Parts: sequence; C-alpha cells; structure tokens
Amino acid sequence: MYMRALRLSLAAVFAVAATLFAPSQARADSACTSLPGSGIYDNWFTGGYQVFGGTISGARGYIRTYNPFVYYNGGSTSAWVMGVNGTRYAQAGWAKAPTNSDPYNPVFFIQYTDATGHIYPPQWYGTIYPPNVYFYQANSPATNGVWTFQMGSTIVSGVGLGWLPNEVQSFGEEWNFSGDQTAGDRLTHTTFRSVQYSDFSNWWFTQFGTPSNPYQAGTPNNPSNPDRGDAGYDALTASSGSDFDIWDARCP
Amino acid sequence: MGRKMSVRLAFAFVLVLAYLTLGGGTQIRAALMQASSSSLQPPAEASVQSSSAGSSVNVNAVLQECDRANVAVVATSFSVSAVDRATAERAVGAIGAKGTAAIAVPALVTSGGTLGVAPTANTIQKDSRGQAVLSRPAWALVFRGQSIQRPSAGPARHKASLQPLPRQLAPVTVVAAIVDAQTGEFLMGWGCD
Repeated sequence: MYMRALRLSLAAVFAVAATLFAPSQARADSACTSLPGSGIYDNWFTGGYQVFGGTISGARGYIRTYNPFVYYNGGSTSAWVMGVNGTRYAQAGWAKAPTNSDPYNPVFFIQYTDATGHIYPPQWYGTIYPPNVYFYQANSPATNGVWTFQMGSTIVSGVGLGWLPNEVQSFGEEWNFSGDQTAGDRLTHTTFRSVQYSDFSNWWFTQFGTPSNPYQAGTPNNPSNPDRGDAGYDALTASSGSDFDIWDARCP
Repeated sequence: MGRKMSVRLAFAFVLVLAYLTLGGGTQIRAALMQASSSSLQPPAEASVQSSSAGSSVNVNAVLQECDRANVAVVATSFSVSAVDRATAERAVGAIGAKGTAAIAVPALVTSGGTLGVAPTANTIQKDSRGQAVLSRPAWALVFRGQSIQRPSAGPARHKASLQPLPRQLAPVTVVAAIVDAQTGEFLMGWGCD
C-alpha cells in the first residue's frame, strides 16, 4: 500500500512538473486573427498618468501579458510602466513585434533616454512564458539617477541616466492606426494592477483618472491624427486610480 | 520498523523532489551553483570594459559594433546543438528581425544585469524560466540592414494638450540577439545604432 501511494505521489509530482515546464508558444490570446492595416502611423495610447510637483523615483505595477495581432508592416503593440520628466523617459514592459508569419509571443523590453533626452536603443529580453501576469518596474531608487529595471525575474540595474522623473505613466500603445490590435480583447482584457510610484522612501498607489489627469483611450500623439478611442478601437475601464483594464473593442 | 523508515525516507524524497521541481528548487539550485563557484565571472577569454549607459566595447569583438560589457560572448563550437542557424535566425523574429544574420556565432554566453559591468553571481541575468544565463550554449547573432519598429515611442501625450510630443524616432537598423542553442528560445536582443 505504501509503495502504491509512493508511486501515485511520484506520478502526481511529475504530472504537475510537466505541466508547469511545458513550453507555451503562441497562446491563443489573439481573438483577432487579422485586422486591416492603415497608411496612418503614429502612436496611440490607452492608460493613465499622474504628474507630481517634485521628483519621484519611478514606477511599478503588474501587467498581464497578451498576444495581440500586430500589423505586418511597421506595426507594434506594447504595454508598460514608465517614469517621465519632460522628453526624458525610462520604461519597462512587454512588446509584440510583427513578422511575416506573425507566430511569436510578446517579449519583455526596456527603453530609456539620458538626461539630454537622447533615446538609447531598445533592449528585449526573453520569451514570456506563463504565468500571465508579471511585475514591471522602472526605478531610480537613490537620487543619483541610476536606474534599475525589472520584468518578471529579469533585472537590469546600474543604468546611469542622470535624471529623475516627476511623472508616472502606464499605457498600452499601438503604432498602426487600424492594423494593430490593442492589448486585450472583449473577453480577455490586458490588466494593469497596483500601479505605484515611489517617493524614495515608500511606494504609493497612483491616482490616475482624476479630472486633472483623466484616463484616456486611444489618444494619438499627433492630435491631427484620428483617435482610436473615438473610432471604437481602444477601450478602457478602471476600478481605481491604480487598477484598470484595456482591450480592443473590435476583437470578440 | 525498517519498512516504516524506508517508506518515510521515500516520502521525504518525494517531498524534496517536489520542492526542487516546483519552484523552491530555483533558490536551492542557485545556492548550489554559487557554492560550487565562488564568483560567476565570465570565461577568461571574455575580458570586458566598463562603459556608461548604452553600448560598450567588449574586446572579444565577436559581435563587433554590438558588443556589450555585460554580455560575455565566447565563440565556441557545439558538439551537440538542437537548433541550427536558420532556426535561431527565425527566433529573432520575436523582435521583428528578418532575413539572414550578418554574424552568426556559436558561443558560450554569460549575461549580467548591470549595464557596463561584467556579470557576477549577484547580477547574473535570469532567462524567462528563472535559469541563469551562465556560459549558456547559444547562437550570438547580429542582423544589419533592418527596419525594426521600436517597442514604444515614449511618453503618451496628455489628451488635453494640443501639441504632439517631440519624437526622435527612427527604426532600429542593427540588432544583436542571443538564442539558446538547445531550446531555440530567444534570450535577449538589443539595438546597436
């Protein structure tokens, strides 16, 4: 009887282990298998922001991974947290790049500027495996402007940028007006949870969505371009100033 | 008594195995790895130089303009590789690279999480499964002549603002990437221009 119990225990252990370590390529997140591309390229943003009177150390939060449809020609979809000060920024998140056959899952990325606003080349890390939700952080824990970035268990530290943020942003972003799916669909939203900023001593929940800094869905960088929210593409619901969902309303 | 002890030992073995397998093992394996190696320095051939933010110079120059101090790339030859060059190149489609790599070197790659500094036990990079990227058999690749979209354009414009944010954006034309030679997993990539 003991040996039978032992065999059953071993079988259970190996079954669970096999499930946890099995590769999960190309999860079936993409409710939209195709979207019509557009000749309009810009950057459209869905999420929240908060501006502070003085400097803070950075931003962090939990973002669900999603595998959206991305337009093959110059499209991109991403979701991130970011510290901002004017044109200077430092961000960590996930991004989905287009390819000819579009078979790939998103990857982690970081991108940042120095104190002059010069944008350094992006860095990408890893294929993202389950679980679906990862912790992201872009933070200068001391006042010397040396940043640490974290995406899940991937940590990049010692990045001397020489500036500190006075604004937190957390958004989903697309590059092609109609060909990029917003992160998320009607049934499976991309969730942003417990978005926080730090005053160097403590972490505080953000207060997105007040009259002075309303949540926004599908805002273009160039105001002369169409708004994806107004077009019925980008959607957002918020349950607090630091918890919100985004998705593409075109995707069932 | 002896049978009971054997059964208890067997159950203890199962519990330890389960712990090692289901995540708690990560720390234990890391501790064992650290115990067996006082410092996780990159291979001796991989001498490195420090730099400020951004790219830097690795005197190995395996990746030429894409060399970085915190990524030690030591060219080698694989005795067994489950992933051929073409498969590794396709894996870099994860960041939008297309076509054939200008440089494709079988290598042992050690990557650290501190920019401009050689990897150590405390800064060793973990892959997406939490495993250290330490002398990892991998394809080290450089793609030139690309037009890769940046993952983000930077800050969002506040909707109330009428002015677009200034952008200094250009597609990335040269990227380096590291692909695991055993699993084909894309481990990391970075723009070089």
